[in-house]
Order: sequence, then structure tokens, then C-alpha cells
Amino acid sequence: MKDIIKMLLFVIIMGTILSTAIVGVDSWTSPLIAKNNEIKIKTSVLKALGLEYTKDTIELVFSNKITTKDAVINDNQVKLYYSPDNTVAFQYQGAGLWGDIIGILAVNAQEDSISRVSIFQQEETPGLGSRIGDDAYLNQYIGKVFDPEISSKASSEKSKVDVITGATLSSEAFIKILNEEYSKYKNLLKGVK
Amino acid sequence: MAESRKSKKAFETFINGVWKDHPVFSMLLGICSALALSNKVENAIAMGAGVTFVLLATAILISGLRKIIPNRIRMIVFMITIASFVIIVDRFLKAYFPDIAASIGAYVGLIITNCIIMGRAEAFYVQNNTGLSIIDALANGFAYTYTLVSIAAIREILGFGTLLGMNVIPPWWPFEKAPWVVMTMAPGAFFLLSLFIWISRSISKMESE
Repeated sequence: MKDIIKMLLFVIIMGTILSTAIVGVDSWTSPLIAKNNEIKIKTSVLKALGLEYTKDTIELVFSNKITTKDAVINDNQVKLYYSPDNTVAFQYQGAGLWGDIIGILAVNAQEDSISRVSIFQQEETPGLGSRIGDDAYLNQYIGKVFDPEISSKASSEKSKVDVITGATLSSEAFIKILNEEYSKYKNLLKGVK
Repeated sequence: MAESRKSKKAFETFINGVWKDHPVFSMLLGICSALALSNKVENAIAMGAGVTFVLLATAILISGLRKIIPNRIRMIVFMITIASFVIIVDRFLKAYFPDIAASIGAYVGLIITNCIIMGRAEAFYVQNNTGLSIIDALANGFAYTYTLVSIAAIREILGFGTLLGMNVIPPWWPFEKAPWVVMTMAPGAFFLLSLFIWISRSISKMESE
């Protein structure tokens, strides 16, 4: 009996101390992490809309050049980002191979074409699937047309995108996410000029 | 006399960690992450540093508390200790090194399941004093890191043609630059790691003969 009480006491004390340490670290790093995330989204928006920026001018370029509008899709609040030349971008999200892939997709809604796409969060295998986030891969999406979808097997060059060798599943998951997300935003974007 | 015995023991602990009982080569611990994260040197360094930190913190805490940790629940105690430190590393990387955190993402959380830490806690920290445990943690962390980094250096050069992200293939190179895709994938890591284990075991065998 005495042993059990000792054991319980030990676990409770140890648990309390470690939890306190974690809560402490969490409250210390949370503002920094939130700030990093905000910068990540802004950088991704600027990248997707093809605007020039440097590490120090992200905030400035964003506030000067981007117009943000709120909209509602399927009862969800979403944000639309407009560049000075009226290209529109939005945040997409969907399941990759291991975790969610989140990024910004900029489109020309009148032509159903991709202006540019960027990724700011993914959990694909480092060095393999994670390469879908490289510019070298994402650049091939520029100008591709949702007709009605983009695909790695499309017969027309206009809608065909390549997958990465050794990262087929991540690439296919990414293509699927873009198709699904664009079909959600399509009508809204076409209606809004 | 006692002094010299002490420093001899410390030295032995260190040599055991970095060579004789090398966690990856001779105990085959931590293989999963060694395979997964050794395709880029940058990731390997970050992972090595993360594991070393968690090892060190666990060593200090477990060896410090070794006399009062109830024997029956020691595994659970190791587990929550390791998990807590891993969460701290994860938050720290996300706050101060967001780029690295993004590229090694899920694997930081998986340090919790890295058997090196659990193995050393059970085999060493719970039985030895804090000083020796710290030496053991540093030795094992160093061994894990140099293994990851050396495998990563070869894989990154052959698979991507870069080292730490810089292009290292000379311009006169007549063939396709860094075309060896298999090196970037898990099988490439298997080949290299087994080659490393083979070489290190052969050397150990020669030493003991």
C-alpha cells in the first residue's frame, strides 16, 4: 500500500513539474511561432502572386500591394488576396501522403488557369515528397489550365503536370488537392470581378 | 588513485559511446530516423542536435532521480521525460528555426520513439551517476550525429549534387549532374548504412584480434 502511494505521489509530482515546464516553453514560444506563421502565409501569398520582395520587406510589400477580401464558401469564412493586376489568390489545404499540405494558389479565374502556386506547410517525407515544395517543381504549374482538371495523365499539354520520381504519391496527392480546392472556389471567383 | 580510476571510467564511457557500443553500428538503434533523415546534411545536423539535446536532458533528469524513481514504473517515467523534452525541442525549432522545422517536420516528434534515448536511459542513466551519464549522453549523441551527417554527406552529393545546399559538382563534370535518384530514397540509405556497419564491424574485429 505504501509503495502504491509513493508511486502515485512520484508520478503526480513529476507530471506537474514537466507539465509546468512545457506550459512555460509554450507560452514563451507561442507568440514567435504565431509571428512565423503569419510571415509564412504572407510570403506565400506574395510568391503566388508573383510580387517581388526581400526578407525585410515582406510586411511592407504585403500591406502596400495586396487587397484582402473576406468571402464565404460552404459556410466557411475564407480570405481572397488580390494583387494590383487583379490576380486572385486563396489558401488551399488538403491531405498529402503523411499530413496536410497547405499553401496559396493564385489563379486567373476567367481562363481557369494557374498563375502560380506555392506551399508553406507540408509533412511529406523530407528529401523525397517534400520536394513538391521546391520552386523547380512548382514552376511547371504556371499557366496550366483546369480543363476540367489538371492531371499527370492528361492528354493535352495544357493540363498536364509531371510527378516527381520517388515521390509519386505526394505529387498525385498535391494535384488532387489543387483540383478539389479550385472546384470549390471556381464559382465564387468567376462571379467576383 | 581514485581520481585516475574515475577519469579512466569517464574516458571508457565516452569511447564506448562513440565507437565500441556505437548506438547505430553496434546496437542497431535509431535506424529508422538514420535512414529517413540522412539525405540532406542540414536535416541530419538538426536531427542530431535535437537527439543529443533530448539525450542530455534525459540523462541529467533520470540519473539525478535514479534513487527515487519507483522501479515498477521506471519505463513510464522515462517515456514522459523524453516526451516532454521532445515537445520543448519541437517548439524551440518552430520558434527560432522555422525553415529547418518545416523540412524535418514530423521527425522531431518521432525523437520520442528513438530507441537510443530509451535504451540509454534503461541501460545506463538509471544505474550511473549524473557525471558519467552526461558523458554517455554526449558520446551517444555525437555518435548518432556523425553517423547521420556522414551518410547524409554522401547521399546529398550523389543524389542531389549539393552539400549543405551548395552545388559541389564541378562544371567540367561530363555526366548528368547528380542523377543518382536512388540515393535520395530509402534504399540508398539502406545500402550506405549497411556498408558503414560492415566497415565498422570489420575494423572492430581487427582491433580485438
